[in-house]
Amino acid sequence: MSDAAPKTLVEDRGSVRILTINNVKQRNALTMDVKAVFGPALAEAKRDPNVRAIVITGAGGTFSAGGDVTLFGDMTPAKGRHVVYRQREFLHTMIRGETPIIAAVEGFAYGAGFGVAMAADHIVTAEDAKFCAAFNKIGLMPDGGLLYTLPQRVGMGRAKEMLMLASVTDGVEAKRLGMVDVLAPSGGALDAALAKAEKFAAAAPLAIGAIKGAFARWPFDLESVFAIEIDAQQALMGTADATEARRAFFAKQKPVFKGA
Amino acid sequence: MSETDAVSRVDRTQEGAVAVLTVNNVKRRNAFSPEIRAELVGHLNDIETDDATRAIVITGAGGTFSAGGDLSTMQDMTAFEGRNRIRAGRQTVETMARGEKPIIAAVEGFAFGAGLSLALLADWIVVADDATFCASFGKVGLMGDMGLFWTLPQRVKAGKAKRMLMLADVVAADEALEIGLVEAIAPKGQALSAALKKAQAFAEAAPLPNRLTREALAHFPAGLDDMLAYESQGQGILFTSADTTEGLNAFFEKRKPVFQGN
Repeated sequence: MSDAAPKTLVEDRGSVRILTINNVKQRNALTMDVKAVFGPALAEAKRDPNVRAIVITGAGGTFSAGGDVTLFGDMTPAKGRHVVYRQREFLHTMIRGETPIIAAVEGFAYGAGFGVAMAADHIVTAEDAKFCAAFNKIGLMPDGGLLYTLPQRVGMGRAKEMLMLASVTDGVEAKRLGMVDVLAPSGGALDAALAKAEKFAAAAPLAIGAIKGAFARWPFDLESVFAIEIDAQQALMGTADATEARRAFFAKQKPVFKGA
Repeated sequence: MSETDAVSRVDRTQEGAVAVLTVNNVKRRNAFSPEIRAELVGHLNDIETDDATRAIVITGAGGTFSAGGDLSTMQDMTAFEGRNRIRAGRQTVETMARGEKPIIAAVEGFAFGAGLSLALLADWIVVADDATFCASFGKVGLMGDMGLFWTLPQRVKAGKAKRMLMLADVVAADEALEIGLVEAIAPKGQALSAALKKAQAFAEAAPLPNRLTREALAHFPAGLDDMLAYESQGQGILFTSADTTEGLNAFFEKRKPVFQGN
């Protein structure tokens, strides 16, 4: 892999966009130059109306080994804060964006790489993949949104063990704990993710976007849920896609959604 | 047995960097009396400022964790006496939930009522294979307290939390592990040794990030932006800590780091 290769590879398969973190020499570490390409590639995928699902994966058989440990030489609190704060851009796009995101994990999802995987809506993992919030091993706290995402998936007790002791979880255990959604054979995560992405891509995109938007507001009380439902449902009821779905239902056909 | 009959206290012992707090009111199956409550909070406050202690184990004497509130001290209680009691319980909950050091619970026998609440305030829970959990409050006409409405749904799903709180379902060790109520099972009589082993791992982990992590997670439930703010502010400070330098050196030198907490 030459240094000139883009740090994030972009490929479309129908209405599914595949973003491949491509920094193989550093096990796809999320260096500043990776983030500089990955963030905008995500934002562009989110903006593109022809993209109905996004698959995020890593090149060379691993997802991402996490942050860039070579960066720490002349660190100050302000610089450090900035490095972490910059991740907010792509985390917002992933969690708050309207397009469903599927993570395909092979090899290592460590540190901030673990964070990227957990920020996806749907996670496919190879059975021999390994997840670890490795931060504590170098005196750091979890970032990449893990304080928000991980307890939602595995409960607080298990999240604390993973976050405070940097314990390693393999794909099989991750599936058992509900940390991931689908288990694939080693080397098969991307294929399984693409198959699932097809389903997300065929679902009514405006409704998917509204659902993602609702979940992204977690935690909420009952009144807020009512407000979200009323606002979004009212808008969805008037869409051409809702009309198409009703037509297809009565005609016993499969609806074709246009995102309008 | 006769010597322990009269006591109602929390004993503190020290195993290296781990403080062990033992609820000791064996005659009443370690019922959570006002004296026990006060002693527990006292010990936790001492430990909070004790730099040599990096982790806390809470357990019960005489083969059981705690059977819950002390019913014998609840007879003929007025409404305001009851209110004061719950306010004192709040102090226990806040001290445990907001403290900076990791707490490990070692559960043998029963963790019923307030004993369940106490166990769930720990970060990591190990339970003997024959131990049982029950939010038994309803059996005496009460509702769950000591933070149970906050802690229980963090670990188990809403349906199970409601069954436990409303029907006083007794949960056995293997089910507790399966549903995420606890993190590990040990053979009967060995919960404490398993807890001490895990406490050692917590004690050896870098303490500063875990303080910030514990503090951030104690804001449960918090939104995405709050959590992203905690991580960027906390990480910014940690990047320049001596422990991060040590962690990186150890990483590149392929050895185990030794964290000093600075």
